[in-house]
Amino acid sequence: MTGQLPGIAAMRAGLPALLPATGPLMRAVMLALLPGTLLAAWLFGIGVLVNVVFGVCTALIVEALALRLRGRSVQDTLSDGSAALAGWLLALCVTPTLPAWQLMLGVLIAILLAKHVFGGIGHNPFNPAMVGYAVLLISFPQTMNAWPAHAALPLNAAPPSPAVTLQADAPFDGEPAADWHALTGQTPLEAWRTARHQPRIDDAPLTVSDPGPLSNTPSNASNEATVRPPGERQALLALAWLIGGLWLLRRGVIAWHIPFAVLATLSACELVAQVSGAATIGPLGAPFSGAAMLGAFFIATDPVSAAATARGRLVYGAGIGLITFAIRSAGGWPEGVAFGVLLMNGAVPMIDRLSGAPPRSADAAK
Amino acid sequence: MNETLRIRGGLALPRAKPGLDRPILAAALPPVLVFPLVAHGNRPLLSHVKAGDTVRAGDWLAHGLRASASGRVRSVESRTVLHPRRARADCVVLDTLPSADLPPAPDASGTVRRAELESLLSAGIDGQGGAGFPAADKLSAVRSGGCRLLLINACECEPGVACDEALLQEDAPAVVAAIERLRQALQPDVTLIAIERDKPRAVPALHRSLAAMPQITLLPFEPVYPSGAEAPLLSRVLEHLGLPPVTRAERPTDRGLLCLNVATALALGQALDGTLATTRIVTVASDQASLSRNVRIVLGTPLGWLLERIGQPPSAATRLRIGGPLSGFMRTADPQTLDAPLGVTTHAIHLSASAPAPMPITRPCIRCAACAPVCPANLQPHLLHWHASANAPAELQRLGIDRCLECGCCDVVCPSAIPLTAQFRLGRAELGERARRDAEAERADALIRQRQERRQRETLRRRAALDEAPAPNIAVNAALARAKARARRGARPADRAAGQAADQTVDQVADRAPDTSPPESPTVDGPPGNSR
Repeated sequence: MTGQLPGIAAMRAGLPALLPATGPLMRAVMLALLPGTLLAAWLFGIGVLVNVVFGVCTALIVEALALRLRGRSVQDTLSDGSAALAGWLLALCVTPTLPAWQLMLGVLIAILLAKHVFGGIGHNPFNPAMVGYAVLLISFPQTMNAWPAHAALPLNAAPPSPAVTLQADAPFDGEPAADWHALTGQTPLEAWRTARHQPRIDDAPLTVSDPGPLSNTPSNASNEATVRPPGERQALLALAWLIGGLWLLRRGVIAWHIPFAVLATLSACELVAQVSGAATIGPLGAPFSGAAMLGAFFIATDPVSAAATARGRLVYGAGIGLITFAIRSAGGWPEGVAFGVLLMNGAVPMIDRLSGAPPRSADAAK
Repeated sequence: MNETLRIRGGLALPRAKPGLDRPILAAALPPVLVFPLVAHGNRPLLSHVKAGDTVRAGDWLAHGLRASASGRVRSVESRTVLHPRRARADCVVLDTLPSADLPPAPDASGTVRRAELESLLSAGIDGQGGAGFPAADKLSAVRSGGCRLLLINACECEPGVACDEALLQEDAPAVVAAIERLRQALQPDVTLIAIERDKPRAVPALHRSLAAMPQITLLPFEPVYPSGAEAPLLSRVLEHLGLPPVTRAERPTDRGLLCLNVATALALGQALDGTLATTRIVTVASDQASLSRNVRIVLGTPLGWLLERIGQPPSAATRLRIGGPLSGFMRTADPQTLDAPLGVTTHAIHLSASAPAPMPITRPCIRCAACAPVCPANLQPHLLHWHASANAPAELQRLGIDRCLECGCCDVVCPSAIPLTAQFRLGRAELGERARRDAEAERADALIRQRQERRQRETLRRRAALDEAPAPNIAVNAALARAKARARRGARPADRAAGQAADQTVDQVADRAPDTSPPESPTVDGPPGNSR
């Protein structure tokens, strides 16, 4: 392949930064994550920060090791920041009390299995952080669902007692324990889900009548006829993610298509559910509950594993929104962003193929 | 119509137009002119002249190539040329004669429209927009179906190239007169001049000259690279006019859409008035802005001679960029390169003494798709890159790589600094080669099929002749009878040799039948012994 014209370099240098290079791009994303991370640490304890530092360090070490094994330039690739970002995102998704070795394992899987096995940055079909997260969730349901007492702001969820946490060692019995998405505090979602399943509980007591000893759902949630609004705590956190995400949009680091499609689809589904009379968290509550905001702006927008055409990104985001809604309202898990992202990652090659060809009648003048 | 249009995609690059603050410098006739025997599309040309011939300005040196001055042919030899896709080419080297006689008019017989067009077709004028497309080919294509749109392209969008703008600044009335002349000859439904609105002196100059010409409309465009490329410009203009876009299967000229560079239009208009264009304007830019000039050169002027003449002799370390920073190519200032001529496609030369800016490290594509919105051809460069890396030509074709303008916009915005355009250029070249090989194989296939059909026909005819005419020889009849009897019994291995002998006899009999060509192979007839 012939090289680039020096003029291209001159043009790149001469232009006001249209888009930062890969390294600055990833660093901008991390900067946008910072306010939300600090807020989460304030809300859920210092464990959040410990996890982030630990996750990022592990990711960097594993990435360096993998690059060395693959015979690539460690310095060039490590400086692109993608590994650090994956570690950071994974650390934000797990509980603050997760044992360190489990987080380490998750990061190891994210970097090695989800990324370098496929050829490193740019070649991973699935979002590495979400792969690591899914593996952790399935392997360690107890610790992944053990939430610390929300002592700082006892808003809408009664903290589980230490005794309950100890019961976490009870064998895992089919229905996954509910509360698995860390910082965003699943409580209102879980309450809403339990309420939604309420009519069926009498008929089928084996379903979700008992949210499980690990859930921090207040025991009276299932008795409530109406659904609570999303907790102020997670709404506050969602706001922090939203601000970071909007800053990224303004900087041109991410495009509007994916966040818009995810949140709009989620809200639209909730609106339909509300109109049809189902118990719902509401079209406005949905984006501010669970991991919707973090997922829409920071996880689904990972360019490597997302669809890359404008039309494709709308479809991709809408798919995530739809799957999230489906899992939230009908699935076994109270939150579905991670699985929505992973499932739609798998659909990306097809989406790109269908949306990549130029329109038939377009400007073909030659 | 004061609305400012904008092409799809593209980049708003910083305006850098060298030498516009000073008038166009007219370079003299050099002692030697060089004419590369290369036509548009890198096709080689056959010389019509040989060493020692005397030619007059305007004489044909090869098909579509005119001498731009009178002189004596010194040689026809291989030389270094300034061409993006080849290093050397056969060239006609002409020692010019000092008497700078004016070139004769081509056959401009006058007022009949058809004759005027014919004279244009024979004028041998190539487009000065950079691609060097023979203007005659475009004209003859629109001539048959009538011209619907005459679009004069005055969008000179690439930084570092200013020859068209310089021409408009100094000579707008002549340009407008030439366009009007063309308009009268072609009778298009619409005549438009597209120009970027950031040309501070050229736009008012055109406005003034167009004041008395209501039939010609000035269409302002946003200064976006590559507005000057025909495809995106024409596509936007068609949209503006409410006409359907040109589809992949047709060329603009098929629909009577004629798009001409402004300097080409001037040359064609002058040809209608009986003056052959033998010059063009070249932007000679330098690191020091004060040295940059726009120079009117005689076509075929050697680069080194021009640089000496305008007081910018290059040193051995000087790096030459032929063309703009995005679409041009680099050369070193060695003696062979300095002997290379400036032709009709050379619109700019940049001299640089400094070392080139270091290229950033190329990283893997992260599919950020920053390249997609800037693509003026509405392609998805990141997907093209993916499939080009995977060597999947069918996918490249499906994704429309043949529409790539090689403008370099994607290269500029790529955060991973991937040389996308270079990769696409290579991919297109491979696709072209594939198409050529496929066509060749197709042709060979058709020939083989024809041959097989012909032989089948001949065999049938031979058999028919055999059945109708009784064999003239008793021995042959007897052999034939034996062969038929054997065929009924079923051939035994021991009889095979005899059967073959009989078959050969039958073939010889058939050969004697009138107008039968000799048998080519026994395979068509099947195995001996059971075929008849």
